[in-house]
Amino acid sequence: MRRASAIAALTAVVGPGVLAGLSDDDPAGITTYSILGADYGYSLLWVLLLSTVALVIFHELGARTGIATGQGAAGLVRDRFGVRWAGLSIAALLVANLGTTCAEFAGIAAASELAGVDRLVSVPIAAVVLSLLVLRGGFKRVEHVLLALATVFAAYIAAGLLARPDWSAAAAGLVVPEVPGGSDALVAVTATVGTTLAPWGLAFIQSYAVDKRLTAGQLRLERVDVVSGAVMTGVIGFFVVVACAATLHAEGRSIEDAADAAVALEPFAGQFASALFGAGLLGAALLAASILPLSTAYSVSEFFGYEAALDDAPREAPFFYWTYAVMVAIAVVVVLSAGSDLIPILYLTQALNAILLPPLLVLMWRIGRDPLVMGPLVTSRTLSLAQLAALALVVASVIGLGATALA
Amino acid sequence: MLALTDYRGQPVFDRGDVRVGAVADLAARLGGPTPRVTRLLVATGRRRTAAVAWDDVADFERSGVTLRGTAAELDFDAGLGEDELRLMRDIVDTQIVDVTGRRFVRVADVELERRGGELLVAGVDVGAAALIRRLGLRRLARRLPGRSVPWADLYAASPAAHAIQLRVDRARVARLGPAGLAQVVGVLPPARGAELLGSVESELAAKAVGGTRPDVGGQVVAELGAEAAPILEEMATDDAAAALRQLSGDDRDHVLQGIATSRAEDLRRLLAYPPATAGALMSPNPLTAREGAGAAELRERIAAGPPRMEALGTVFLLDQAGGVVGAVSPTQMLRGSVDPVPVPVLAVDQPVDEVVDIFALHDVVALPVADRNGRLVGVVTIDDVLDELVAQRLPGARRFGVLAARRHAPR
Repeated sequence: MRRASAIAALTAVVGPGVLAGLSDDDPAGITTYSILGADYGYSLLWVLLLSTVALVIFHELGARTGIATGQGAAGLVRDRFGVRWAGLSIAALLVANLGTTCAEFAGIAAASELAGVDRLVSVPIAAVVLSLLVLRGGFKRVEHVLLALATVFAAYIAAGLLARPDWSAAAAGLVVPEVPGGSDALVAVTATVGTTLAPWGLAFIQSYAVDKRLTAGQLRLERVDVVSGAVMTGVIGFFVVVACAATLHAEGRSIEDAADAAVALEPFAGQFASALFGAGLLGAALLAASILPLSTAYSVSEFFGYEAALDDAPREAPFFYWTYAVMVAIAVVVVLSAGSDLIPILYLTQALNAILLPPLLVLMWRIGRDPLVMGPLVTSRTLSLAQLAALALVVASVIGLGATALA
Repeated sequence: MLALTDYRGQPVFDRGDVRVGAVADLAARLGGPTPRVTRLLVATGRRRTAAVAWDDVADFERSGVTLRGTAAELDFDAGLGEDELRLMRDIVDTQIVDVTGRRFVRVADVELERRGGELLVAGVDVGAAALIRRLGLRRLARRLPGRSVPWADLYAASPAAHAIQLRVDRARVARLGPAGLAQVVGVLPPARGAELLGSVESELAAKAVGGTRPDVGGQVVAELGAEAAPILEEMATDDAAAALRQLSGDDRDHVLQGIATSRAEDLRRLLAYPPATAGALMSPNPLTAREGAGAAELRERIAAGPPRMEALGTVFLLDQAGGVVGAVSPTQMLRGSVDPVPVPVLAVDQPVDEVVDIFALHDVVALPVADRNGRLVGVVTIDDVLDELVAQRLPGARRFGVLAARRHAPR
């Protein structure tokens, strides 16, 4: 009885963490992890491990802040630091999310081209259908289908195990922090940090905790949710890297397009690797391409002080609908006008995420340490130090990238 | 009308025209329809803030502020009174509930009004124009309309303002009325919603909780703990059960211990039915009479019961075994007829979706619920059906869709 009710209580709070975690395994994430494995083998696995720890630390902060204040991130920054800081952080969030939205639409293009459908057809159709579904409230009916499609990426776990990886090299890569020379390696490091701990995920998890009206009493269970979501991201990411290291890297191949990335699934799926990869890519891309503009639109209307909801008419919530429409439109134009090579959009936008992260993390950290805002849920000294360490990781990767780019 | 943020950072001079600092904030005293500005807070060098009583402010202009005293007389130690709040810190950029407009919005600016030598808080500006003006884009801001909310129509939700309103501005809270309270509680974090309800008479609180969605009501009851007992006693049994249903077993027992025995028994009986069934939706103790009862007896039954909306005056006639023979509606009685009309009887374990369909199909406002042996145990009324339909579109489902659409939240 007691056990059953504990499970019931957990299913009531489960969602924000697990969902934000799962959505991290979007096309941009899978591509970044694939490149990490294909180009650098097992040697950069430690970056993924540290990013996953940072993900746990900051998603916990986001969820806890949402519970303590009942406010989303954009609104809270405005409340504590005024309109200018809030304006700056919303601008950073907009740029980062726009980049990642482009990446998700690039994922749709890549998946459809694997199946031989030109992106001039698939991308506009996907944009129109998704927008109608999301804005007309039909999204609920298809979300589970998309989520199920996205879980295809769990096939990487099987592929990683079947590819006979060099486990001792993987273990060493996980704990020995070494960075291969050259700015390319630093781009890979920065993109891994930026795709794992994405700005939009932070805003999303906080709003979601507010939306679900979680209470202080549910914080313990919400932490379980956050940790499981982050660990899920980390584990899938780990096996993507391992699968690519054992196949592509061992053969000395790099990733030029989606067909290359699909090769890593061959130990598990054989000749169906490409179809499996394409299905997963499409599901994950559609899911993320709907959530990202939506989450951004919420943040923008929150900044302007209007908590919009999907059942508001466009006239009542102009910021909400404009943000959504402009983001989708720009993403479609970018993907359609990009050359045949979509990998840079999928990959470099994730490094951009990391570059825009530090100011957002500093503001979040300061809010979490403010007892006036957080009350009894204020960040403890230990956790605060852990957050600063995670922040240092992000800043170090960005500075390193900047230094090699300038040199 | 003056805009508060235009004055922030403006230079402050003493009576000898010596610059002593810059405007940091204004403090105002709550209570009454328009709060009065009581103090000017001046930021001097070295991160220190001095408080100057409003009577000692000679001139308050956008070009600069002049004090009656000298720099040497500045008071750095005065704390705020317990009914005072700081307008920049506690109101600007925080959330308010616009009670008339029924929205949860963020304050872009505070509107001040001069009256005699006093400065009064007239209301707040919640429009995008004020926000854009503060970002420095004055020309664009002028082309956009302002949106103001008079102070009398708002409930300030920032922690400091919320606390002071509860302490010294009870009149404001009570003026919200049950529906307004329900709305405010619906948007506040659960702990603050509970404080708000704990501060008003239990009868008003009961009506407000009854008006909230069951998940919100449940959270507030959980936060109130044992203090929720008087509120639950005032609530309709089915609404109280719906709120309690959201609590864990231990919390529920804790709250039920504070409630009168017979009422607690009724609640426990309702809570024993599985969620999302007719049993979980119904009110116990429907109006009944034996088969063949006359008009006088039926009228007596209605008069004896509590004047609750959900009973709607429909009397169910029972046979010897307690089975439902039919219903007599108040309209029928007014026309002088006491012939029972056959009605569909719901089963306690009937899924709520079917219950909703049956109500729609038969165009009825109240239906009896029978147990497995066919004995009448309760009544589902149209307001229960409405609550159910409302609960089916929880805001979580509206905002992000994904996985949030759990219709009957925690089981």
